[in-house]
Parts: sequence; C-alpha cells; structure tokens
Amino acid sequence: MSEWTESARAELEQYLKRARARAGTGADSAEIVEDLRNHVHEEVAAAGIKIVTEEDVRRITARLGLPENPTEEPPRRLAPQPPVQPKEDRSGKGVGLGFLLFFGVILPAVTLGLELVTAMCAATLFDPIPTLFHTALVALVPVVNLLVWRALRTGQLASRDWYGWANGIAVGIGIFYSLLFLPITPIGLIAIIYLGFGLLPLAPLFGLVSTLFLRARLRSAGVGEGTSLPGLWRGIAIGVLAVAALNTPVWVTRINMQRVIAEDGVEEPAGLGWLRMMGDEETMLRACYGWTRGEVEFNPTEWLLSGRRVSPDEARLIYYRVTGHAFNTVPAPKLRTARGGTFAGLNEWTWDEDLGGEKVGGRIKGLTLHSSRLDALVENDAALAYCEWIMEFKNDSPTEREARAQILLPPGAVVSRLTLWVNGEEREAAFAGRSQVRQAYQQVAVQQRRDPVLVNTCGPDRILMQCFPVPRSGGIMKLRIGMSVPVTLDDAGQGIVRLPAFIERNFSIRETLKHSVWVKSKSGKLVCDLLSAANGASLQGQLRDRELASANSLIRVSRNTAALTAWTKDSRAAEPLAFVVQTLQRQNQSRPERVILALDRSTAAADVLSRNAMALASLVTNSACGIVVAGDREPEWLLKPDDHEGVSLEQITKRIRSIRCNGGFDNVPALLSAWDAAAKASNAVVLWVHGPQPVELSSTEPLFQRIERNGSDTDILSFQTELGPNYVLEKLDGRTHVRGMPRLGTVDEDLERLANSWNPNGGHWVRTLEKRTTKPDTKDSIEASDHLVRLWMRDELVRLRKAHRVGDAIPLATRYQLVTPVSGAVVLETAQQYRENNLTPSDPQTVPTIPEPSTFALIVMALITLVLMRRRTRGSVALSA
Amino acid sequence: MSDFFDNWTVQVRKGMLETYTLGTLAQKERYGYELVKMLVEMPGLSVSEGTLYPILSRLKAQGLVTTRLVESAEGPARKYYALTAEGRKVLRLMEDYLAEMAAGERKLRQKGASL
Repeated sequence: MSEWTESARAELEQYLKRARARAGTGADSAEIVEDLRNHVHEEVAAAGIKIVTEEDVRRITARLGLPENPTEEPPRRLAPQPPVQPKEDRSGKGVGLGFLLFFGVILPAVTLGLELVTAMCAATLFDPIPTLFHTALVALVPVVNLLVWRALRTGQLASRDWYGWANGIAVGIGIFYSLLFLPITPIGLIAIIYLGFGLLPLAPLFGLVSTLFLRARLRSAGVGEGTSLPGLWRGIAIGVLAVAALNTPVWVTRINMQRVIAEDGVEEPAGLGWLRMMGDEETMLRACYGWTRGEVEFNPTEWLLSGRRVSPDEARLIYYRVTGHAFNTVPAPKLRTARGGTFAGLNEWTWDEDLGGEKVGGRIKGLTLHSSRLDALVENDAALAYCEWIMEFKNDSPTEREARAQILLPPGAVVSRLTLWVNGEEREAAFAGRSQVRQAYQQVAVQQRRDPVLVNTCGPDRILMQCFPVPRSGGIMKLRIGMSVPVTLDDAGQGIVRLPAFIERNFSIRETLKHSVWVKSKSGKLVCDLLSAANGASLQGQLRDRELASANSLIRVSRNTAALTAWTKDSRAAEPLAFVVQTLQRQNQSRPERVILALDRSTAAADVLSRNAMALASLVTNSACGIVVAGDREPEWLLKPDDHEGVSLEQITKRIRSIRCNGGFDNVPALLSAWDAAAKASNAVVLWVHGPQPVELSSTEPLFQRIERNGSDTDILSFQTELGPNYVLEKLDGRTHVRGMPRLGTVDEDLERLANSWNPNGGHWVRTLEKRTTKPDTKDSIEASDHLVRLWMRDELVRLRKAHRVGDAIPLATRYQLVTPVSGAVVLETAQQYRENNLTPSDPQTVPTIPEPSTFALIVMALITLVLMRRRTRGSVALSA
Repeated sequence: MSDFFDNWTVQVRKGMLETYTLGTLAQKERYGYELVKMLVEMPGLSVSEGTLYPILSRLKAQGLVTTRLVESAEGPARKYYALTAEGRKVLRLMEDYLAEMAAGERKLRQKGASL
C-alpha cells in the first residue's frame, strides 16, 4: 500500500475538481471523478510508488489529461481550399514527420558518424567532439528525436513526460552546437544555394529546429487542453550545463592563459593559480604548437575570449610555469581525438616553427632516432678518452624535416669531429667562427634545402646539433659527433667517464630503440653497471635512452697510480717543436668564504629539496651564508646572510623541506639576489640547485652585467637535479664565472663530492695542461694521443675569452678543429658550398678516429706475422751460417 | 496543408472514439484501467486517459455498455465494462456503415480513374 502525503491528496482533489467541471452532458460526473480517482491509484500501484508526493500526482494527472470540454468550439472550419493530394506516407501524424525524421534524426546522426570516422571538422576547423562524453551528448539529439518521432508516429505516448524532459535536454545541446557552428552556417547555406550540397555544417541548426518542431507536436498530440509538456526550460538548462561542464576546463585554461600574458601583469598570479589548480594540460600543449587557422577563425569560443591571443612561445612559457616541465618532453598533441579515417595523415603533421633556429622546439611527428651507436676508446693512464656518437634519423612524415637536439657532453669534453654521410660517403666538417658556421648552415639548409649538419655549444658541456633535411617518407640521415673527453679522477687509481646523452630533442625515441655502446681501454680495467665486460679491457651493451644519462651508465676506469704525467706532440702548433704536457696532482682547496644557495621551487627540484635538505643545509651553516628561493614574482630569502646566528642545522633543514614546489619558476631573480649577496665577500660561490630551465622567463642580461662589470670572483655553480635544457646556462655560455657542476653520480654522491672539494683536508685531483718546447724527461711520463692537445686548446680558449681576446680565439679553435663557445662545426654537401661560405672542410687525415675492432685484430695479426717472419728469417740465417 | 490535415484527424478521432471503445469490448469484458490503457496505446487515436472516462460514462448511460465491480487485492475495487446486446448491435451497425463507406470510396475512385 502506498502512503499519500497531504499535498498529494490536495493535488488529486484539485485535479478531480477540474475534471468534474469538464465532465460534460450525458455523462455521470461523479462516476467519472471516481473512475479517474481509481485510475490514479492504479497508476501509483503500477509504478510501485511507496510514498506518493504532490509531484507524483502532478506527473500522473498531467499524462491523464482532463476530459475534453464539450462546450469548446468545434474544430475550426477552414476556408475552402483546393483539394489536397494525400501523400504516400500517411501513417504518421501528418505532413512534416518525414522531414523531421530526416533533419532531426538522419542528418545529425550521419554528420556525427562522418565526423567520428573522418574527423573532417576536427582536422580542418576545430574539434566539436574532443571526448567520448561530447560524442555521447551530441548523439543524444538524434536518439531523443527518433524516440519522440516514433512515439508520435505510433501514438504510444505513455512516456510523454519523459520525452518532454529528454527533448528539453536535446534542445539545450542543440542550442549550444548551433551557436558553435554559427560562423560556418553561412558557408553551408551558400554552398547549398550554389553547389547543391553543404548540409553537414547546418546539421546542428536543422537538428535544433527539428527538435523544437517535434516538441510542439508532442505537446499537442493526444493531450487534453491545459496540460503542458514538462521539461522545456529545465531540460534546456541541463543540456547547456552538461556541454558547458565538459568544456569548462578548456575555457578556464584559455581564459587564464590570457590573464597570465596580459601586459599589465596584474592578473598573472591569479591566472597562474587557476592554471596550476585546474588547467587543462592538453589545451596548453596544443597552444604550444600554435592553434590551427580553423580553431582561431571559426571557433566562437575564441571570439568570446577577449584580449590578446596566446602565441606558441607564450604558451610554452605558461606550460612550463604550470607543469614544471618543458612542453617538448611529452609527445606532440594529436590534432583530433583518437579516430582513424581519411584525414588521419593530418594527425601526424606538425608545423616546425623552429626550423634553422637556435631552439630545439616542439616534437616533430614522424621524426625518430632510427639507430644510435656509441664507440669510445679510453686511454686509462693518460686519463683521456675519445667518444664517437653515430646516429641515424628517420623521417616518416610527408615533409622534409630538421632533426635538432641538445646533447650533454661528458664533463669537460670538447667536440673535435663532425661527419655527415652524403649519398653513402663520409663528409667531414669545417670548423670556423660560431656565426660563420650558422650563417652557412642557414643558407644551405633553410634556403637551398640541401644536406648540412651544424654543431654549436649551448652552455657548459652542452651542444646543439641540427641537421636538415631528413628526407621525407622514410628517408634517413646519418651523422657522427666525435668528442675528446678528459677522465674525471676520483683518486689517482680510478677515474670516471660519463657517456653523452640527449638533453632535449625534437624527435621521438621509440621504447624499443637502444643505444649500442662499445668502450675499449688501451690499458687497464673498465667497469660499468649496465654494460657487460668482454674481458676487463672492453665493455659493450645496449642501453635505453633513459639509462644512457643515468648514474648507472658511468664507466669507472682503473689506471696506474704512478702515471701522473702525460705528453703529446702538438702537430698543429705554429712553432716547429711543441709539446703539450699534462700533470695530475692532488690539491687542497679552501672552502668559499660565503656560499649562497639559490634554490629552484619548480616541480623538478621538489624531490631533491625534500630528500637532500640536510646535505644542502650543511653547506650553509656558516652565518655568512644564505638561502634564497625562486618565486613567481620576487625571490624569497629563507636564510639571510649574516642574520642567522644561532639557527641550527635542523632548523635550516626544516626550512628547506618546507618549500612548496609546484609548477615552474623563473630562477633569474633569485640568482640576481644570490649573486648580490655573495659578491659582498671576496671568495664566494652561488650554488644554484635547480631543475631544467627550458624557457627564458626573464632576461639574463642583468646577471651577465654583474658578472662582467663587478670584477668580483664570485662563481655561479649550477647543480641541475635532472637532465634537461637550461636557458640560463645557454645565455651565459662561455662566461668563465658560470660553471655547470659535473653530475657523476646520484644527488647524494655529487653533493658529497662538492662538500669534499671544499674541505681543506679533502684533497681534489686537478689536471694541469701546459705547452712546452720539450717533452718531459721523467721516467713515468707516458705519451698520449692528440686529444691531449685538443683538451689543452679548449682550456687555452677559455683563458683567451677571459682575457677578452675572442679575435685570437676563433682562428685557434678553427685550426685545432674544435667546437667551443666561439666556434662551431658545419658539414656542407658540396665543395662549392664550402667556397661560397669561405669555409674549408677538415682533412680526413687530420680528424680523430677510433680503430674498428677488426682493425685492432688486423694490427695484432700483422704484428704476429712480422714477429714470425723475423724469427724465420733469423732461423734461416742461422741455418745458412 | 498541415492545419487542414490536423483538423481532419481531430474530427475523425472524435467520430471513431466510441466505435473503438465498443470494439475493444467486443471479445470480452475489461476493467476500466486496462481498457483505457489499450485505447491510449492504440496507434493514431492519440487520446488521453482523462478523455475516455466521460465516453465510457455516456456509453453506459445510453445502455451500450454495462459495468460490474470486482474486489481487488491490489487496491480499490475494479470496474469491469462489458457490451450489452444493444451495444453489440450498435457496434455491428457502425462497422457495416464504415465498410460501406470504404467500399463507396473505392468505387468512386475507380470510377474517377476510368473516366
């Protein structure tokens, strides 16, 4: 039994009262009222309603309707009209149902299906159904229209109230999409008028009109007077709100991106706050690659957003500030949602705005690292190595592409060889002034679209490699970068070689691709956690890209502890007889008088600040030291120099741990504050602990000015927590007071290594390279390879730059064939191109090489043959004697 | 054109309501709720439940249908409707009349076509 509320009873009585009044003549009004009452009770029982509310009664009686009033006017008489020829399909509710079926059901359904399959609109204009939820909402319109149409056609209107609500929601969705497509509606109309087709862009509008017509028919069909169809306004509100809710993250993101770039900057913090809280990463990523023309010109959402449009460069800044990582660390966004079809090719297309430029830029779809091979030869006792990286790029896109990458060199290494394979032949690079090689590259690559490759430095131990064009549709481009590497000594008997690795790249590396690594020692043992030792003197293995840069891929080199002097003849020297002599010695260094920690607050540094807080704190316990933290606007002093007498190590550690890291931050203001504070002391260091700095948030010029003009000996030591680009180091490339701290292990190990280097009793192995006219006469001195000369010249160029003698440095770098902050390397395709650019390619006889394993075998076999031949000759001489 | 057709269907529906109501009871007696539901769901009739009870009341007053109450365990007593002999006679007359009308219309159309 059901329970009736008072208001439900009152509502029923009201209805019955109205019914009694309309019972008409010839009928028993009391009986009708009783029958209707029973009918309502039957409905309640059939619906299984336990507690009957006023709303329930209203719903039921609305469907029941009132008896038709007999006093009503009979159907109005029509003026005489010409006879109407009945149509074939008269089974429905009248003229128009066929049209409503076509425009309200078939056209929207076909349009949706076409968009799902071909993504025509998404690829050429904007994506109207970016998610499955959007698709479901749009599909609701033809589905609801079909149900209402069928009910009208068959007269089965038992669920009329539900249809009313569903129709209202469909109207709401229809209104939204009609407005979205409004800008292209005129195009559709013109196309229909002149070409006879173009219905698809009009589908939302026609769908909406049909939905409204169906509602009108639903309201009038078989319903007594005074009974309305529920759910129009509330249904519209639900429909519009549902679509709006789906789009809210995108709108919030785009509105707040504009707030961030507003020129007055007043709303920047609030905008960033919103983006960090609920910004849509996909939307920001799309903005980093630039909006399509259709998105800009035809999406009314864009029109409603006031203010300046966010450029790709601005979007890249915002992306970093919000997420804390560079936009090109993730794959480029798809133009449309995951749907296959005719326009699938467009999904694999990206415009390369950075072609020929000095930025790595966005990921290029279809461009991949096809193969990678690293060969190294270690001279253990001379503490030297030479490493060659041969890589092949493959381009599966339909356009010629430029491959670009920033590469982290082994600490202290210098690029001494660059080779490009042109039509299967090796072409060696020309070394010259930095601007000269870039100009040649841009002329040949970008203007003539021929085969060059360019390598320049982009910060301490960093180079930018770019090659163009990687041929389209599966074409491959192959190049080699050779580097002379100093072995970093941990102690006299052991050194470390770190392999080069990609910092930033515009191509993809498939999960299955592995770098093939082979390392050979001239004498002594090599050990690496990830490479297998063939016999103690060589290592080989396959490394994934993430392994290449990890602490596990470090190669530990055993060496003779007595080998502290090495020398080689400088065959390129202007003097007739010149030698470069290397001396390895242990030196005690004094701790800097003042250490200022400049800490990054970005997400990438969070882990280190939390886990290594105590190690960092222990570097600044001296009251002259300080800690400054990067902020969105102003840096924040966590520990002011000369102002923390009595603050314990634990308290400093706690303060470091309390730093809230979220997104990406501009570190330059913090560096300026740190430098100003540090420069007050005579022997100071700014230790900058930070994550990657992929974008230039503010100019480094004030920092450069301080370094150049102040005359202080303050050093900036960059300690990067994880591999990635660093625009501050790029901008300060070649400045002698800015150094990247070599990462030779985990953060713990490297911080300990740094602390030890500041320990007056800790000792520190220092390599001294000098030029002499005679070779050393000590019996332990060993002859080393030409790489010793190259490393000496690298140091010499630093000295010349420090003395503002760049004019002298460029010819020397060119002669010794090195890539340095003043010089670069470029490979061009033809001799004419070299002549036109006033460049001379390296003589293949003068470039460094690594003997192939087969060459080693041949040498050994030749030696054995020679020994045997000599023995045989002696034997035969003895016999003849 | 649409108005004309709408107007025509309203008149046809009104004229046919009694015929269909009687027709639904031709086979067996039915209780009110069931009868009304059947008529409401009938294709093309497009009638609301509230409209049918006055018709049933008028048909009863004219002696064409009769009613009886049967107690129900699920709710109020159910009112069963059944055709009277007079009701059956009227239904037959109605059906004959409609058949004659349809045949006449067919003849008229054939005649028009042969001219």
